[in-house]
Amino acid sequence: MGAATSFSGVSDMGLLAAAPFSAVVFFAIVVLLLDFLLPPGRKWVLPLVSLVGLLASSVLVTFLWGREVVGFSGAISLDRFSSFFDLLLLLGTALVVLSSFFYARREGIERGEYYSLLLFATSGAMLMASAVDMVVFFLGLEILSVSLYVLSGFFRDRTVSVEAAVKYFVLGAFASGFLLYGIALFYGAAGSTQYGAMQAMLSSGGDAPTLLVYAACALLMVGLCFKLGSVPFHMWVPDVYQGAPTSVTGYMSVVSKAAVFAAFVRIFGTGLAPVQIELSKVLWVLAVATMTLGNLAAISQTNIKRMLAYSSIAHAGYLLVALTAAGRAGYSSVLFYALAYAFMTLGAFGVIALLRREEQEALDLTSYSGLSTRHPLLSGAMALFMISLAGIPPTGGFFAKFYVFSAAVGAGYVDLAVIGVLNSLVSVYFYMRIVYLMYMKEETVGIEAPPSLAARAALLICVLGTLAMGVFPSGFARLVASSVSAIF
Amino acid sequence: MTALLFFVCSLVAIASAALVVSRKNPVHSVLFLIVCLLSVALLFLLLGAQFIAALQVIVYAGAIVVLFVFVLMLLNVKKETVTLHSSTVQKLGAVILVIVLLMEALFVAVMGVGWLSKEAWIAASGISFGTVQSIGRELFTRYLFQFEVASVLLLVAIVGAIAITKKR
Repeated sequence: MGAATSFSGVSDMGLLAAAPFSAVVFFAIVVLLLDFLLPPGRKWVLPLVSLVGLLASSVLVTFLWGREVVGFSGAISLDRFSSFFDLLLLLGTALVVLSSFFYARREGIERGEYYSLLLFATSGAMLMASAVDMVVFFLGLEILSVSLYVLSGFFRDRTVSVEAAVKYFVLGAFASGFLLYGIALFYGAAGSTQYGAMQAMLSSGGDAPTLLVYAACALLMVGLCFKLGSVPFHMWVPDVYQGAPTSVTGYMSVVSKAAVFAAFVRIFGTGLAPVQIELSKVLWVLAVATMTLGNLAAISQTNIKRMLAYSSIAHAGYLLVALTAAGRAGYSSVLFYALAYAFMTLGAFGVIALLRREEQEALDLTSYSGLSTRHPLLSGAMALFMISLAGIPPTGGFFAKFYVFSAAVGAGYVDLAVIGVLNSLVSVYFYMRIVYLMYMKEETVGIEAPPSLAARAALLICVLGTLAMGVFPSGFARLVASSVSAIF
Repeated sequence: MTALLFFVCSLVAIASAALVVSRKNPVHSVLFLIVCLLSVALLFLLLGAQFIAALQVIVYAGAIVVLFVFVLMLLNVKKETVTLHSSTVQKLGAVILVIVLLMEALFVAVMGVGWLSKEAWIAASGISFGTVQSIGRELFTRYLFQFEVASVLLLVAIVGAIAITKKR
């Protein structure tokens, strides 16, 4: 019963740890209320207010950078690790909001709920990155997931979108069940829902309930791997990514994935660190299967959103390589990869969201034929994102893969690194096909790219980010190393 | 007395659960589901978990069963149309499960009375485990943040439900 007394002692400090999260929730509610007050012609204020909220939260995070606060009697932790992910998630959301300015209005989903749910989802994601308690982590994940179930079905009159929402919801709820059961067993083994209690119990060398711990690990891994879209829990990814609004697809593949990886690192890197060696054997298999299937299936796709969906499965595989390697180098490379992946993927989805053909979204791969003649800047940006996704220098994607594979070699997983490099070679084919179509083929008629300043600003940020991470990787590497050192 | 109550409750729970899956008429199934959930609530009471017993009655036997009944009425299912295509494997599985649960209940009722009353039962009631008061205290001190965040989750669910159903 020491909880009550210690709580009153640190109540102000506890609030500090939750400040960035609370700011996002506050602005999500403001956007929701503002929606009723605004006349239909003034809806552009909503994304603006959302951006202000995201900026306010990032200012808070930057202001608190380097502080170490564990708030609410061990529920949520503010450290450089959570601050890094907070900034990454806020940046990703800001880029999505920027490209939604135009996309949401054109597709008729420019409503208060859209931006509000985006902000709510981000608050859940931030919670996952900073949680040091299973219950907080689960609540964050559910806030993120429930928002995304709704967002992916936002085109209520399009069958693909409704199909995406229903599939995501049913399978997601099922995966949450696995996760919850895993959390229950975790609690049963550690006697507490906090990561620290599990670590203390495992490393004390006492008589640990091994079977319970491994059962908890297995169920947690199933739940998390579903949310990551890792093989063999990847079936929902292509359909959901294809059906959801393009801006939401970008959001899902970057923000929600980064949040799950952050939670993965925290749970398996700190709480369950003493059994990491055993877990790496499972992760090894998952990583190889995920990389290989993602890359091979992406080759035969004709819809660009499906192709990027399989590519995102493959990238989840590369990140699993880093998780297999574990240790400080492995986890640093996860952070580096998540940041580089955010820039290049949100950039690619930003271009897709902008293009239009015959009053529809230009999702067919052939729509990209000869794009360079009429839209040289857009296709230049797209080419850069593809090069980066394929992992060719001088882009962020190259160094992201470089750090992941060198971490794998450093941890003794040379075989995994070799399989990873072979997989990246396969991926060059389907990424470069887009570049080939854009520059070497005859122009397709009827492709339009409307002028939208906000969307182009988002693309510019993505281009600059991708190039900066490729040209000055050491600065970013130092940043992620210092962020990871906060939790080890 | 506790052992007798336990045995009766678990017997009713298992029997009604078996009836839920074996009745042809879906309305009968729902009614047996209520019986099953109520007897499980009684089992929770026997464990000293008053709060969970109350929740079981309010949430499951109340809200969720009402939802079932609503769906049944909206769909207007006829008795004949819902012939269940359960395979022999499923039936066998159900029968085995019923037998295992019955054996378990019998085992606890006959063998485990002493164990139940001396250790777990006394220890649980000793720390007022499961009372509304102790759960409330935990919720508002140790789990305050989780409690508050759950409200955000509920808000998101409400906003989402309205967003996908409201008229444009």
